[in-house]
Amino acid sequence: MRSSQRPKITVVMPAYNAARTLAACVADIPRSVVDEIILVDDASQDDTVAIARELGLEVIRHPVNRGYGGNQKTCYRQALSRGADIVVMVHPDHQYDPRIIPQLVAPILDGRADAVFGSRMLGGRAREGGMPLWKYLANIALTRLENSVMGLQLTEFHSGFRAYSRHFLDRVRFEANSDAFVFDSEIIAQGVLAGLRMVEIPIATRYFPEASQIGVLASLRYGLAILGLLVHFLAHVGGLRRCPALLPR
Amino acid sequence: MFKDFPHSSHRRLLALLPPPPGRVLDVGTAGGYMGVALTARGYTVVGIEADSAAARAAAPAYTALYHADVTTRPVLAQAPFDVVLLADVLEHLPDPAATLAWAVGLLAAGGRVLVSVPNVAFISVRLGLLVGRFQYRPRGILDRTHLRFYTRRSLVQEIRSAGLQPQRVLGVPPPLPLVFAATARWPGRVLLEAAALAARLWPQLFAYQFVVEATR
Repeated sequence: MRSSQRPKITVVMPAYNAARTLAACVADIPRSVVDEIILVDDASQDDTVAIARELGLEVIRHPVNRGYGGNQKTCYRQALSRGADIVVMVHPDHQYDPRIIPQLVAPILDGRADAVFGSRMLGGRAREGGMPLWKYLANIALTRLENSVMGLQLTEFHSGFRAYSRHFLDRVRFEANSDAFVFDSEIIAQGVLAGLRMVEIPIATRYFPEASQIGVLASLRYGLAILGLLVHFLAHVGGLRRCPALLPR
Repeated sequence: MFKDFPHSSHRRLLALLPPPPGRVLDVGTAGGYMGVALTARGYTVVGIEADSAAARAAAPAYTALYHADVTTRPVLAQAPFDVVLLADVLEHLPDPAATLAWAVGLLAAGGRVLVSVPNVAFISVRLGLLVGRFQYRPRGILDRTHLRFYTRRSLVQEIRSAGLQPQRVLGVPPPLPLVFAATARWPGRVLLEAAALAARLWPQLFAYQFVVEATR
């Protein structure tokens, strides 16, 4: 962190067809604490890029769709190269409330954590926010397994509202991760093996028709990808098969 | 003695330490085996031990060794520490919360507390209770000198109540090599690896001990 001045806080928005919700989401970002907003557009077919430019965001376009993980890679690479000390991921679908960014970054600013995750499960209010029951139960089962295997005490691994310190992103090989949704769990596994500190704060979420949702089939594929990651993790820590992507940088 | 075989609680604790150099407080040194291992790795180690004979034996392994009872919450001139090590200590104390709070007060910025305790919900204890048996023994989970018992959940609660954030909670398998030396080497090690996998996948039932890394 830069010593003489306030740390630079950059919001990154991995976007795909977010035109309908983007303006409302950006309006809720507290500009007094956020120094810069970078939107990475994953080859949307709607007006996401035009609206983002109109809102004065720093916009990067993927010429072809790479997926949610691939989008995050561009987000973090850009944020780091532009000198961010803390990188906050906010989904432009407005499912998470960006007004609590100050609380999200506080543990990093206080030196108590290297990454902070907004958790929909902490306090158990996720279903009041409208999360479907089957998704809620599957989430709990996968989370228990991930916690046991990685030795963590998190309430969820799939939150899209996160803050990372520069130190965290410098220590993990996020570029080696999947381009799909499982990126979010992979980066946690890398954080574990790098001995980084991760904490959670409770957040509220909204599920509404405009918010992006993944369907049953995509959820199943996601679940299997997580099980695959856990097998790799076990083989890595057990010394059976070293996984270079999991090694700290 | 230092448990030096794969998946042992002592090896797990060492693996959770940040890379040396660093200042470590070893609470309850016993004969000083942890002090020897830590000093060899390049840490500066201070110890506390209540038993005078053990303290005398352990002293050479430490830069400073206090003959004191942690329940009196002694003031230490060498504080703050990067790591406070409570290896198999909490279960011997009448008020572990007070000792955890004292440990938190000794931490440097970014410091961590490492804890290991036995798992009272380990399968053998559960099966014993099922048939009405709860018998103290000279060693193990139901050691005669244990005053407090933890499950994974109650341990995490205890640590959170002290104002600490548990970062890693790892299940350690039973120390099979202490009973069957062959399990430390292949092919007998298959048994130990299976126990270690079970302890990782279902720590509440198959972990013999828990090892926790917690930060402020």
